[in-house]
Amino acid sequence: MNSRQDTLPKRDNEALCAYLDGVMTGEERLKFEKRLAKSLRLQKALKEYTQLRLAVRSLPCQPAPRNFSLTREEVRALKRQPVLYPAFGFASLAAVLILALVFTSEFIFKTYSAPMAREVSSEATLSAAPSQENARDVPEQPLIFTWGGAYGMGGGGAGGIGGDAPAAAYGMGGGLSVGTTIVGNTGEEQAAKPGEITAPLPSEGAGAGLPETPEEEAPQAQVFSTPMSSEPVEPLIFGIRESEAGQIIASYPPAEAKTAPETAADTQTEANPALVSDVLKIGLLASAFVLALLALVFYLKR
Amino acid sequence: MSEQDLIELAVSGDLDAFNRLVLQYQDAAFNTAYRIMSDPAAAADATQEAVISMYRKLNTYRGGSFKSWFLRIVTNACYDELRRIKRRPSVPLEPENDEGELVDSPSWMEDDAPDPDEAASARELESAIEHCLADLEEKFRVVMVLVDISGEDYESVSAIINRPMGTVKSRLARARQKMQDCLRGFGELLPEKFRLKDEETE
Repeated sequence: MNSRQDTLPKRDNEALCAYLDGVMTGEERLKFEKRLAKSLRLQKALKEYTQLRLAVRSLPCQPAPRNFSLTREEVRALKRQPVLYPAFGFASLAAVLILALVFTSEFIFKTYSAPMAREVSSEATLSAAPSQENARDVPEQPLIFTWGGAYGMGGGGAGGIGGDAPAAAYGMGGGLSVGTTIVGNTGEEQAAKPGEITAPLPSEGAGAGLPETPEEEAPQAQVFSTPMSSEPVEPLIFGIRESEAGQIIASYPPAEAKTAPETAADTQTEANPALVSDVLKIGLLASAFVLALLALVFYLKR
Repeated sequence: MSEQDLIELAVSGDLDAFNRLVLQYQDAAFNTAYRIMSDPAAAADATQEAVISMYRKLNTYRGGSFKSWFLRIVTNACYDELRRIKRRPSVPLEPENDEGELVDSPSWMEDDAPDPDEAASARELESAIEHCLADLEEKFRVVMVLVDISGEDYESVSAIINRPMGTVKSRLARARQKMQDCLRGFGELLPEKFRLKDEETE
């Protein structure tokens, strides 16, 4: 018996079959016959293939067990069928297309509208926070809040920097100091004497002493102070009057101002309303489902 | 009446002409289907489907060998039928042996009448070839049946299976090689003239 190692290479095998079936050109045939004359292996394979082909061709022809011709009734039935059959034959295609439309529309439109959204978003961000951009131009200035009256709550410690020694000492004392030391980094003394009421300083006041080129010098601290009143002061809890407890005094960002992404999203929603409404989507999905079901039924019935 | 006349009449809607064409080629069609399907009932179904399909597509016939065109439809019908059978495998009406395994060639289907040696040998050979042919992969079997049994040339087979000529050559070579390997397994069972002996050439 032959073993697998006698298996012809694919090229030789194909050439042998082509030679056997007479589909080689004259030149190819001559070339192959030269190889065939030299190769015992090819000769053996040719003999085997010839036997095989003879054996296969010797199979008796199976006559048709019945007549396959069509009757007039069958032809009439065939002519009726095309009305519905092709229609439902395309049902599967329609179902696939509709499903593709439904499920890709969102993706496609979102993908193409995404850059716009980003632009809007960035524009909104820019417009929403111009002060941030401007703020970068001006050197940051430490904000120092002083709480008015005798109940000043610290802050003076920082103000003590650059001040003279007594001022610094009072500053370090924190909230119990009467009056507040407010000193910027300009080196100018703005220390208030103990017991002296510090007048409210507008921010311009602090900035007034700044040189025209703030980059060259250290930023000056803005100073805020609440006016001290001589009226009896309601005690503060965490800086909030008792009567204000439970109320929103302030929030950041302000409640009326939306964040930039929210603004951008709103803008996008207004500018690009949904291209395929939800109702239409549901309708399309339902029809796709029905069509797919019909296609499946027809496919299985075949 | 020539084949071309029959075709023209059939295309124009003449059912008799169409049926004459069917009668002319139905044996070839069924034989091809039978060799591809290895099952007479399935082959008959495929042939009937092919005839119906041919009737519908008759107006798309654009000349050339009508037999090849018809065999192309038959081959496609066989592919469809094979797919359908794969989807709904049926239980063969074959008896089981004592161990519960299906008997490949049930003896109850055989003719009990004594046969001459020649006929017996021929049947053995036929059985071996059919077995090996059925064992081939579908794509190889189709090409082998079309070339070696239906007698189609490479070009026609290329058109029938809708594959390039190179694919036909390649598949046929592989099919023959596999058939040869398979038939070697039958060895002494085959008639001497078809026995694939190595000793003769070694």
